[in-house]
Parts: sequence; C-alpha cells; structure tokens
Amino acid sequence: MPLNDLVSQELRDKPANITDETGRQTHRRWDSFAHVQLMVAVEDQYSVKFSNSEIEQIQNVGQLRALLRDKGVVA
Amino acid sequence: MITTAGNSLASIVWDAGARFSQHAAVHVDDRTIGYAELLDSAARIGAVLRQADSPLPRLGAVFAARSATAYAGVLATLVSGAGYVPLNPKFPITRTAHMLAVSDASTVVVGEDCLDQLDDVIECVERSLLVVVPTRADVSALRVAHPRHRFAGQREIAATEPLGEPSPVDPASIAYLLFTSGSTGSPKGVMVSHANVLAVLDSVWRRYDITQDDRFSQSFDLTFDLSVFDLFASWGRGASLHCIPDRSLMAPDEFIRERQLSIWFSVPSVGMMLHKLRRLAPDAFPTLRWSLFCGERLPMDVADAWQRAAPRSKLENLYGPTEATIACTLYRWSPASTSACVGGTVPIGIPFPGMTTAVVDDELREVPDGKHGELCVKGPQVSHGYWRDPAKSAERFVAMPWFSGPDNRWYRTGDIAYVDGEGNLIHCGRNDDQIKLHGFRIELPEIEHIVRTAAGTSFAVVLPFPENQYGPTGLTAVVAGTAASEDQLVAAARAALPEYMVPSTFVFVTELPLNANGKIDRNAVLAALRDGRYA
Repeated sequence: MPLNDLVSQELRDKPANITDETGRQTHRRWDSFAHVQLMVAVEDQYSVKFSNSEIEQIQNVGQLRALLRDKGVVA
Repeated sequence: MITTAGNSLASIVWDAGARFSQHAAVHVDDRTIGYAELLDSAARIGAVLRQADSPLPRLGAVFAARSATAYAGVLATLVSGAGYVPLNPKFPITRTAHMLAVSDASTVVVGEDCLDQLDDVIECVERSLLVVVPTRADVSALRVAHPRHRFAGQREIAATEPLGEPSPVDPASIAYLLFTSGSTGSPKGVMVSHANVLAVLDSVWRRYDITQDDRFSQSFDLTFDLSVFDLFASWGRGASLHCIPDRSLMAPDEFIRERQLSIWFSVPSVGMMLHKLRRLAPDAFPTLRWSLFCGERLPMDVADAWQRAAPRSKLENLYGPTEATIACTLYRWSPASTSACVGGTVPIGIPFPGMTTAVVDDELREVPDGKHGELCVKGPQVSHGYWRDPAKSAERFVAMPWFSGPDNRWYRTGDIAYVDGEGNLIHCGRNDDQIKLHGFRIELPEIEHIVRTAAGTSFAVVLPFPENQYGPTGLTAVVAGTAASEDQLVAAARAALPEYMVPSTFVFVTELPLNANGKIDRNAVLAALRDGRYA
C-alpha cells in the first residue's frame, strides 16, 4: 500500500488530502496516540523497525518517506 | 510505625530535605537538582511571595510546564503558607486567564516557557497580582507594560531573605486548587486540603515502602492531580523525581531503563502505547519495583504485558476522582487476575486504608454486592468541595440516610460500579456525560456548550468516537442546522478548550435523532457513527 494511502487510512482522511507536508502540526487527528498507531502500521506494512528517537523526530509524511528510503523502502 | 512528619506538604518536604540534603530531588531538562538547592530556591521565591497582600484562603498560582521553575514554584507557594493553583501553558490563554481570575490567587510564579502567554493572561485579571519570574534578572519591561501588577525577578529574589522554614498552616486549609472540566461550560475548581493529601501519603508510604533510594517517574502535568503523588510521595521520603520529557512520553521505555526507575506511575494509555509499539518485552524494566496506573480503565492485556516487562515489580491499578484526592481504591494485579477482569478491564479493587466505599441506587440506598449502582466514597481523603460553588458541592458531597457512624460525608463519584464475589469493585462506566480520554477527564457538555455557541444551534453533540479495542481514541462533534464551517468551530473550540478536548472530527447533518423526551438521542447518534451512517 502506498504511504499516503496508509496515512489517510490511519488519520481517517481522504488520500487526496495527504501530502508530504501533512504532519503533527498540520493535521488535527495526528496526535501522539495516532502517531504511535501510524508508526506501528508503517512498521507492519513495510517490515521495518523504528527506534524511539526516530519515532519522536518524525513530524510529517515527507520525513517518514525519507526515513523509509534510508531503510531501503520506497513508499 | 510510619507517620507523616509535620502537618503540611511543605513541612514533610523540608523534613526530608534536612535529612537528605545531598540527595538528588529532581532530574529535569538534563539538570540534577539536589534537595538543598531545590529547597533554597523555593525558600527564596517563597519569601518574595510572602510579601503579597493575600485574602484568605491564601492561594498562589504556578504557571509553568513541568520544569525546575514549576517544581520550585509549587514548593515556594506552599512554604509561603499558601495553597497552589497549577496553570498549564498547553491550555488556551482564555482558559488559563479564567482559572487565574476566579481562583483569587494573589501571586503567580511563571516559568520561562509561559512568558509569551503572560501578557494576555494577567491582562485579564483585574486585581493586582505579584508576578514572580525566577528565570529573568530584569522585569522592568513587564512593570511598564502592566502597571496594575507587581513583578519580581532574580534581583528581587536575591535581595530577599529566604524563609527559614515552612509557614505553619491549618491542615484543613487548601493545599491545591485544581480545575477540572466542568459540565456547565467552564472548568470547576476542586479544593484539596493538606490533610487530604497527607492521608493519601500515609497510605502510600506504608504500602509502597518508599525510601530515599527510590527513583520516581514524573509523567503528569501539574494540572493533573496525579502529579501530587509524584512530587510528594517522593520528596516526602527523600527519593528522586525523574521528569519525562514530553517527546518521550509516547515511548518512555528507554527512559525507564536509563534512569533505572524503581517506581512507575502513569495513565494506562502510556502502557497501551508501549504495548502497541512492542516495547513491553519480557524483563524490559528490571529495576521497577512498583508499577502503578491510574486515571482511566486499565486493559487486562496491557497489565499482563507490563507485568512481564517488569517482573520484579508489583503492579496496581488505582482509581480515584480529584474530589477524593489522587486515588482512593486499588487493585493488586496477579497471574490469577485475568479471571477477575470484566470486559477485558482490570478491577479497581478495594478502598485505601481509612476510606470507605458504598455502591448506592438513585435514592442513595446501598445496593447488595453484585448489583450496579453509583460508587460513593468517604473518609479523610474526601475534599472540601468545589471552589465558590456551594450548590454543586451540596449536590455531590452528601450524607447517606442509612449511615449512622461519624463523618457521614460522602462524595458521589458518578461512576457506575458493583462489588464482585471477591469483594473487588468493578468499574462499569458513568451515570452522566463525563468521559476519560487517554486519562483526561472530560465533561462532554463543556465542549458542547462551546460548539453550540459557535454554531448558533442547540443541535450539537460531542461523543467519544472513534474507538479501538481499548475505548475511545478521539472526540467527534455532530452538528445539525448550522451555517458555521468546520474551521470556524475548530477555532472556537481551540480558543476555549485544551487540545485534548477539541473534537478531532466534525460531522454536519441535516437533523439529529431525538428521544421520547425530545432531547438529542446520544446513543442513536453514537450508533450511527459506529455504523458509518454519518461517514
């Protein structure tokens, strides 16, 4: 599943509303609890593992995509 | 026999500080502050606070996030002989200003992280305040901007002789005034006395055998009364407090290990997040000797996973409304506990020592074990009632017609419970529209009041939705008959409510279902949300 679709599913929003700028500061449903849920969903979807500092630092979809790329995943 | 030293929160900390002056009192923002330094700082700020002209009861606000200033500010206010009113920079300015205004606090200790809000907050307060900013040397600009108020910074603090010892206080006087969500559209203040807190501390010090070697977590904001346990259960025994940075609250597993914490206390939501993140591996937390949870329902699977992660700790589920001071019942988790859980939720157990519980019907008659009713509590932890609201206090703090013993003053919690066959209380929900969301206590009518006013309609409800296997994960407002946009309603909610009370979803419909009494049928609306009919 493309990353934007996964994020839209977790945030219960339309895929068209999800961009690389969509993040904790811009999307009202992306609170700390949704953040944890999203990180777990991404780990499961792409078979990757995030450290605590990575989880804490990710602020938006673009950063999440870049982190996945660093882990060898194109999403 | 362990007894509480002194008769006030300040005196127990000063007693411990005298014995353990070289011990670390708190670790915060990469700093370690010893008891000697913390109490010296508090005594100096407290001496300045003492100069305020204060009406009775004496109250002083502490406007700071969890920080060195916040901890010193709480102790400074207490050592000056006043009770403290915690204010939270995460809350909207209008809410903070309202709390400060109605509390009649005569002083405010302000943290560096709140200075950008200070102008707007104190401008709303008509009486003269003494505002202390311990992180600033020069407060002359503030004096010019706010001639109605007095200000003190580092220079004034340094020039004032520190207080030698805590001012004597009546144990029945207010230790803290804590505002919780109110059902009538604005927060209500709960008056908690020194005697109330000392009763809790006496119980927890005995039960948890806390010593100067213990290392406590500190996860609760000061506007959450469970923070009182963190601060005073630790400081009253010379133990150290470890403030968890906000960024680490989602996943504090490494923090627990790095700090070698011995006592963990948080809302279950923190455990739920660690469980979801698969951080509760067996023996992940070998240093914990107590794992305590309070503030919302504790799921059985989270308790089980946490117990495996902290196998040397004893795990307890605590329960208690702010009005009964921190926590008033407890349940000890054990491998056999799964059979005691109902609906996947851990029981709330038995009353704290000295406290009495009763489950009653609508006529306040006690119901037999096994029957559902409203949970009521009495004992030394039951607080004075609501600030400047005798009608609300009389409604919730009542005498039981069947009780003939002394101290016939009970707090009606509004929680529905029953006593199971083992004598444990089982929590079954509420008899009103109060909910817990991630541990936050929320009166849905307070949000509805804001939404309805902004929408210009009385046809709006706010419901705990969506949900997952652990309960609600957010709030949804369903609004009918309004021309207001979602952005307008969000802006109105954000201006008045903390972020955790702002609905994450707004649904606009042409009409809302009504029940036989002509009121909005909340259950039908929730069912429609669950069925996806409002999607």
